This record gives sequence, structure tokens and C-alpha cells, in this order.
Amino acid sequence: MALEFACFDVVLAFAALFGLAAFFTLRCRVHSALSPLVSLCSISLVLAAAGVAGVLRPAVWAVYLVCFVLGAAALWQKRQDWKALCTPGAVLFWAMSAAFAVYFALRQPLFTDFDEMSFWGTAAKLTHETGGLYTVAPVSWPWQATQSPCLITLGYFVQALGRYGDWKVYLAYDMLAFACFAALLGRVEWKQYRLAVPLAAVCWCVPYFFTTYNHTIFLSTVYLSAYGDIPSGLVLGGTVALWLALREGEGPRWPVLPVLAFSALIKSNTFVLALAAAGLVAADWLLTPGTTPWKQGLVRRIGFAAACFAAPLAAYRGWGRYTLALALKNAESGGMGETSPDVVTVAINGIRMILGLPVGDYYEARRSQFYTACSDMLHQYLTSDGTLSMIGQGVVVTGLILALFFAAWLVAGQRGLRVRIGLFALFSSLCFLGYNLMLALSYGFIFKPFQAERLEDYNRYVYTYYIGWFLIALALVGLALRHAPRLDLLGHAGVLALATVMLLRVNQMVLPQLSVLGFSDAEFADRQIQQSRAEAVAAVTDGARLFYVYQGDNGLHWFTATYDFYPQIVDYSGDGGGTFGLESLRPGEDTVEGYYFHPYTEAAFAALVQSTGCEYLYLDKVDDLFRESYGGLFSDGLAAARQGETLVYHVDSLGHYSPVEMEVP
Amino acid sequence: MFRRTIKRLAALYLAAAVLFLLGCGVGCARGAYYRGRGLAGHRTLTAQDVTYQSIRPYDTDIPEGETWFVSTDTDPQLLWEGDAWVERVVLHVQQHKPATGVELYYRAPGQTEFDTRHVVYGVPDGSGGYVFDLRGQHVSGLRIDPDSVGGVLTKFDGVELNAPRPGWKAFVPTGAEGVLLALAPLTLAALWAWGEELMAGRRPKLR
Repeated sequence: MALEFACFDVVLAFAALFGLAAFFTLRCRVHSALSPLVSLCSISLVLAAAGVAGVLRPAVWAVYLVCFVLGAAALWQKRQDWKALCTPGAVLFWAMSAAFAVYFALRQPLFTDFDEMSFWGTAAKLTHETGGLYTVAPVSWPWQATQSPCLITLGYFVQALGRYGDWKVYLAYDMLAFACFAALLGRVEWKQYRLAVPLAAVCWCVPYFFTTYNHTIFLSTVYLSAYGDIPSGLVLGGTVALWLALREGEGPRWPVLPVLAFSALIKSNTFVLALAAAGLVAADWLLTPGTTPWKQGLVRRIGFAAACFAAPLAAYRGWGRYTLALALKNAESGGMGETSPDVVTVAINGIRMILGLPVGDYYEARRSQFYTACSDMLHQYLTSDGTLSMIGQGVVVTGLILALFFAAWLVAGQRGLRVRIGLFALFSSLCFLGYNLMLALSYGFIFKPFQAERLEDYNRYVYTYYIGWFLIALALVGLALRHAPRLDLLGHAGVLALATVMLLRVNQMVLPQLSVLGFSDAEFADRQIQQSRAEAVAAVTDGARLFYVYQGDNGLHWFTATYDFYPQIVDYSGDGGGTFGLESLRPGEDTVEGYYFHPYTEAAFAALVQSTGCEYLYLDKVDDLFRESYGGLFSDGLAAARQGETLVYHVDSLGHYSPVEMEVP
Repeated sequence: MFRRTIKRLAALYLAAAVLFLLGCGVGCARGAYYRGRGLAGHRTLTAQDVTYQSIRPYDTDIPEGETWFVSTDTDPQLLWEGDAWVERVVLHVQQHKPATGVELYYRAPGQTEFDTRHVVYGVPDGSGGYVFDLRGQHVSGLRIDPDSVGGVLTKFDGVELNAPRPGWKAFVPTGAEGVLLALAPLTLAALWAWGEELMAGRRPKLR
């Protein structure tokens, strides 16, 4: 396939995005450094809403069309104002996005991480291939996919009119990151390059700086990941930076609303982050009216503050109602329904427990789990056992961020701005406490005991906040410096020093050959082999449902096969990946085989295959255990599979399995 | 004003360059001293010179005279004991799947264990091998981790200590040194300018 054809959809997406951003800038007076973030979030939200309504495919065409028309009209009518489109932030966004588009188109990285296969990547592919949301796509998962949709629809937007590619999903995520960086540069002008350049360098380092605590010995997935944790943090910071820039100049204030709504639907735990951002924006607007008397325009200010909360709340509630309905429907049809206790009840009971009030049995039984999680989290925060960033554990990161707030306060000079910075520091610190409380509640009452015991994925959850918090402080430093022209030299030296230190640390800890900028093609060799095997199997199975066997799987291979074959369906096959065998041959408990072991008798295995309605078995990996247990069901006793002549067996009407002739890659 | 700025920048960049070159010069002098003592010579370690950990020889269908091994877990190690002054180490290997992180740990004389403060990361040399730039270290032992994933089939063609290279390469900054050389003078220049103006009373103090 010619490269230019493969990228045609991305070029169209860039054109549509540019059209909408130009429209926002030229017609709605949104600064051109801010319009990419507002455009990306608006488009993603509209597509999510269309997905909920079941009209995603027509909606995406309509979105492209509207973007082109609005953009063309704005560019033509306001051609004398084109200069407004060219600001440091806007150039940063478009140049970085274009560079990454070209780079990724040439290198074509692939998904490799577990959750990319188990959700993020597969959801993106399901959405693209079916033209509807992943929530309703036909797939063999027995559970209902109810995760938040906005990153998925963003990934869909970039490639909606072309062929699906993993790298296009990465590109969409990175464009979102660059849009947040552009918002952070905000109203910086060309002549303030001494501020703009180091700020941009710091932004580039941020996703590395707060997520990497050791020298990379494996590929660093920063800027090369479909997980939602880093984007959540960047959008938290980007939202507040966007607000600061909106408030700083003439122009509308509403563009912060779609971004707030978007941030509520990035991941299930980002709703609280969206509320935190909304709270910061609302407090800033309500409590510090600037030069106007406090009472003047109070009602309007209250109205806007309420809207800041309403936007994420409406998005979150809307999605919640949609997924609840889906889950109930799924439960009725024999799948799994909602199983976790809901967050609000957990929060109420957790706070009651802290206050010493009586709580229900469920919560009482988990009292020690909750308090253990609290003390473990505190231990992680305070000691070097919890090192998670390039400068150390949480308390050190907090120190750095508070130091930045203090620096912003120092250089700000004006009393009004100092009060605002103080309020941001205070409220963002309170939000940090609140976010930690939410994490502790989750570990105490939602997670399984063994997950709580090892604080599963704690770093991933907490660094999201550090990233956002740091960007908020950095945006305030930028703002203060622009309003303190007499202290610019010292301030610029400070920002430059920060950039130097961060670049140095990133350079020390992230090897170029193990980062987005220099990864080897061989990183994806295993994935390419898997894909070629899937293609070979697909060629001889004619779209039929496949029963999947991979002895020793922990679920990853099953998820990967589900992903690679789609739209051909890989069956849930017993338990979605694992090891089949006779009970008498059960492997040791402490092995992967033993942990995910499915003890079926020969007859039960045959009945299972029969019940799934699969016409073929895809034997991705069989071992002696499998041959010994079920060899009798196969007409050749699995000889062809053993000799590497086939990966596929056909299931006939009598339930006998015979080898299918094929080229095994 | 502009002229002063340029002068300041020029002075600081010059100072940085001189400092860097001095550092390189000192390195070269130390290298010469150790060469004089016979510790800094070019030598190649073969499969017989090193010991292995978490590495198993691989001898199925391999051509005569070649050394192949396979790593048995995620922490394979090639170990060498000896007294040497090491500037640059080249690991000559061909690997059959991505090795991910390839590191060299070194032990200074008197140090008993390898630790993470004495480690250099390998840079691919373009032909399958890795180069470790130690910038001149007196070592009493080396440990090379040829991969970090395990199960990597590797053709081992030896380890070169102090592989010869053009002399000017000792004066090429590493990535981190490059960042410092580029940015530290800029930062200092801004501070200097602020300090000057503060002294002259043209800038407000921090309140």
C-alpha cells in the first residue's frame, strides 16, 4: 500500500482540525494557541455523543464537512487576519503534530502493552471497523465495555476516513498532548521567545519527568502509548492553562467548557480531576474579579462558575446513564452486569468511617483494607520506596510544585495576581488531598484485597495528578512572568534553569534507542509475527468464529488475537486465555499455567467447543499437556500441529477435529 | 545593551567550552598516565576471558569457531575481573531479538559489589553491537548485561576494551554534556545580567 494513500485520512483530519481551529480563532476570537485544544475536545465530545446516539459514522462525515465549511468561510472572510493564526503556541502545536504524523507514518509503531490489547487499542479498532462505539460492537467479551469514550473517539477522528492503523491512535494522543502544551504557552508572543522556548522544552519533558524513575531498560512508552493516564494529567494542566490564557485577554470564556466536559470522560477516574479543574476555574473567576468591584456582575460570575461544574457533570452523568442501560441489557442477555459499588456511596461511607460513624457490613469488613491502603500510600508518598519521578517520591514532587507556585508568587508583583496564584496553590493542594482520598477509598472498598495489598497501579494513578499539578504551576509562572516585565531576566533564567535540569534528567534516564525518538523496528517484531500468523489463519477460515488455544496464556494472547482478527471473532474460549488440561495433569499453582488453568475432561472440552459454535480451532500454541489431554479428539492426534504444518483444525458436524492445510508463517 | 548581552554570552560560552576542553584534557592526561603503567592498552576479551551468569552456551547447528549463547532469565551477565583503565568498551554481538536495555557496570578499585551508581548504557554501534563510553575509569572489574528480556539468542564476537578511535572523538560531548554546554551559559548569562542591573539599582529586588 502506498504511503501517501495510507496517510490520506490523516491529512484530511489535519485539514478539518485546522479548519475548526481557524474558525474558532478568526470568528470566535479564541487565541490560536488555544484553539487546537478546544477543537480536539469539541470534536471528540461530539463524536462520543453521536456514538451514544448510534450515529457515529454519519456524524463523523458531518463533523468533517462542518469543519471544512466553517474553516474555509472563516479563512476567506477574515483573510486580512491570518496573522492571528501564527503564534508561538499554534506553531508549536501544528509543527509538532505534523512532524509526528510524518514520523509515525514512516515508522508505524504498533500496540504492545497489555491494556492496549485488553481495552484501549481494541476499543479503537472496534470503533473504527464497525463505525459505532466499542460499547456496542460485536465482540466475544462476556463483559460490557463501559470505559469512558473521549480518547477513543479522538483516535477515531484522526483516521475515520481511511484504513485503521495503531500509529494513528498514538498520533491522536500526542496531538492532544501538544495541544495542552500550546495552551500552556497561551498568549506568549514571538518577542517573548526567551520564555516560550524553555517553556516548550519543559512541557516536552513533563510526561517523562513524572513517570520515569529508573533508567529505561525497556522501550519507554511516553508519547507511544494508548493508555489514558498521561493524557489525563496533561489535560488537567492544559485545562487550567487554557483558562488562565482565556481570562488574560479579550475574548470568550466558554471555550473552557468543552475541555472540562472532555476531561470528565477520558478515564473513569478523571471525573474527579475534571471537577478539580472546574473548581479551580470557578474559584478563580468567582473570588478574584480583578479590577471590577466584587459585587458587580456577581450573578453572571456565579452562572459561569456553575456552568464549569455542569459541563463535566452532564458529560459524566450522560455517559453513566448510557452505560448503565447497556450493562443492564447485557446482564439480561446472560453477560455480566455492574459489579463494583458506586463511587458516591463509597465516598460517603469512607468519610463516615474516618469520622468514626457507624457504617454498613460491607464497609466494616473492609475497614482494615482501607486503613492499610492509607498507611501504605503515606509510606509511598514520604519514603524512597515510593520513588516515581525523576526527582524522587511524591513528597519531593510536591515540594517542587509548591516551589514553582512560590516562584510565580514572588515574580508576580501585583497584588491581584499574587492573590490568584495563592488561591490556585491552596485549592490545587486541597484537590491533591481529595484525589488521594479518592484513591484510598478505591483501594479500600473497590479494589480486590490482593490488589489493594500491593497498591496496584498506584504510580499510574497518582502521577496523573502530579503532571496536571505541575503544569498548572508552570502556567502560573508563565503568566506571572509576562506581567512582571521588570523581573523578566531573573524569571527567564529560572525557567531556563528548570528546562536545563529537566532535559538533563531525561537525557540521563531515557535512552534514545528506547524512546519514541529512536525506537528500533525490532521492538515490534513479535507483534508482526503474531499479525502474520493471524492473517494466514484468517485466509483459511473465511471469517468463521474461532476457538482459541494458547497454552500458558495469561490473557494477553487471547486479547491480542481478538484484536488482530477483528472483525473476525475470536471466541471467549473457556475463559479468555489460559491453559487447558485434565485435572489429573494440573500444573503447579505458582506457574502462569497453574494460575490460569481450566481443567476440562476430554468430553467437557469437546462440549465446550461445540457450545461456542466455532467452526475452527486456532491452535496458537499447544504443549504436551494439551496433546496428552485432548489429542484423542483430533483426527491426526495433533501431529500436523506438532510438525508446524498447520495452526488450524476444522470442527466437523460430529465434533471431530481435522487439520486444515495452510502456509504457516 | 545588545552589545553587552552578546559579550556576556560570548564570555560564558567561551568559559564553558574552555572548562569542557580542560575536563577532556585532564581525562586524556590520566589516560596517558595509565597507558604508561600499561593498564590502558587495547585488548579484546574472548569467550574464555569472561565468566557467565544466567547465560547458557548454545551449540545446536552453529558453524565451526563461532560462540553462541542464550540468556536464561532477564538478568544475564558477562563478568570480567582485572585491573584496567577503560575509556571505551565495545561489545561485539549479533542478537536474534531485541535485547532492550544493554548495560555495563564497572567496579572501581576497592569497591566490592557492582552498583547502579557505576553504570553506563550501551549505544548501538550500527552493526549489531554496543558501545559504552566510560570517559576514562580505573576499574577492577566489568559486568555487561547483554540483554534485559531473557531468551535472547546471541552470537558473541568478543568485548573490546579501549578500542582505538580518532583522538578528536575524546572531545565530542555526550548528550548530557551537550545539553549543559548549550543551556548552562544561557541561564548564567540571564542571572548575570539581572545581578548587574540589581547592583546598578535599575531592577527591583524581590519583595
